[in-house]
Amino acid sequence: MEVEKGLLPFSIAALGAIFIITVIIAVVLIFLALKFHIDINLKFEYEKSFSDLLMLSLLRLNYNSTYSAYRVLAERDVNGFDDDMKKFLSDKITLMADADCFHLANSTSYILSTTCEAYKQTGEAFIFKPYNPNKLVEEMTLTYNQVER
Amino acid sequence: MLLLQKRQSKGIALTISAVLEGLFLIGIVALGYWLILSIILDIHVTTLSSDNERHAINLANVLLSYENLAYVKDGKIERGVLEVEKLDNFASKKGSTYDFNKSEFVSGMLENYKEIVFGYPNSLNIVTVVDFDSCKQDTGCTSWVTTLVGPSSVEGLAVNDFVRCLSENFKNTPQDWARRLGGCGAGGVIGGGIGFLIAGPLGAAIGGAIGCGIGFLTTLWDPGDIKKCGINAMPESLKYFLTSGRFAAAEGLPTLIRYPDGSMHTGRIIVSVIEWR
Repeated sequence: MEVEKGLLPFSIAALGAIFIITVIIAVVLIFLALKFHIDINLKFEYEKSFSDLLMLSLLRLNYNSTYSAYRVLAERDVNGFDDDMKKFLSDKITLMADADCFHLANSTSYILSTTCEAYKQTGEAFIFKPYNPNKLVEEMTLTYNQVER
Repeated sequence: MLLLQKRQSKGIALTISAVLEGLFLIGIVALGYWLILSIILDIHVTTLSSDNERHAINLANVLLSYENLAYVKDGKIERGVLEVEKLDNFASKKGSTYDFNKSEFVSGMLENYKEIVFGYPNSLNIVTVVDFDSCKQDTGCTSWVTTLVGPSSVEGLAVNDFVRCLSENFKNTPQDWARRLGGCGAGGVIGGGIGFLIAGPLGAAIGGAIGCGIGFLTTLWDPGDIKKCGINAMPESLKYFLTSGRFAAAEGLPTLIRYPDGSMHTGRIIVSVIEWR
C-alpha cells in the first residue's frame, strides 16, 4: 500500500510530461503543415506561370521564315513532321525549360519524347488544327522535369 | 533504527528522482519553447518571402505584356515576346552575364533606375532579361538589366523605422554620457591637432570645436543599438536575401527576344523584388 502511495506523484509527473510532449509535438506539426502549405502553394503558382509561358513561347517560335512552331505542330499531319522539326523543338524545349526529360503529347499519343520519364511539371495549350477532319482543336501537353539547381 | 534508516534512504531516493524528473521536464519545456519559437520565425520568413516571390512572379507577368517592352504587331501586343530595341531603351545596362561581377556595372544598374506606376509600393525591382541563344563559354550571355522603383509612401519607408528605433533607444545613463564626452574629447584632440597644423592656435581652437562636435554626434548612440536598429529596419526581403543568399524567383520565367531581322531568341526574364514595409 505504501509503495502505491509513493508511485502516485511519479504517475502524475509522467502524465504531465506526456501531456506537454504531446502538446509540443502537435503545435510543431501544425506549424510545419502551415509552412509546407505556404511553400507548396508558391511552388505551384511559380510552376504554373512558368509552364504556361513556356508553352506560349514555344508555340510562338519561328521554325524558319515561313513556319512558326505553332504551324509545324498544327499542320504536322499534312506537311509532315521530319527529324529537323523534331530536333528543333526538342532543342528549344530543353533550353527553355532547362529540362533533362520531357514529353510533348496530345490527348492520345506522344508527339515528342525523351527516353527518360517526365512527370514533374506540366504546361498545356490548345492549338487550332485547320486541316483535321475529326477535331479542329488539339490539346497540347508538355510534361518536363526541370533540373534543380 | 533500521526503519528510520530505511525511511531516510527512501526519502533521499525520492528527492533525487523528483529533482531529476523536474530537470527532465524543464528540459523538455525549454526544448519545446525553442522549437516552437524557431518554427514561428521560420514561418514568418517563409510568409514574407513567399509574398516577395509572388510579387516577383506577378511583376514579371506584367512586364511580359508591357507595351514599352513587348513586340507590337498590327496594334496587338504579343505577350511574352520582348523586342530588342525596346529592351535597349528600357534597360539601365546592357552587357554580358559575366558583367554582374563588375562593380561599375552593378552601380550603373542601380543608379539609372526608372520609376514605374504599376510596381508595388515602396519597392525596388531588379529586372534582368537573359538571351539564352547568345550564350558562349568565353563571353557569357547577352543580358539587359534595369532597376525599377515602385510608388513610395513615407509611412512605409525603412528609414522612418530606423529613426524611430534610434529615438526610442536614446539613453541618459552616466556610462552613455561618459562615452559621448570621450567621443567629444577624442574628436577635439584630433580636430585640434589637424587645425593647429593648418592654421596655428586659432585653427586648433576651431578644429577642436568641430572635432568635439563630430565625436559627440558619432557617439550619441551605443554601436550595438545602431546595429540593432539597422537590422530591425532592414526590409524583410533584403533580410531573406542576406540569410538565404538569393533573391526571390531567381529562376525567372521563359520569354522570347525578337531581333530587328525578325529572328527570335529564347530567354528568361528574372525579376527580383525588394520591399520596404
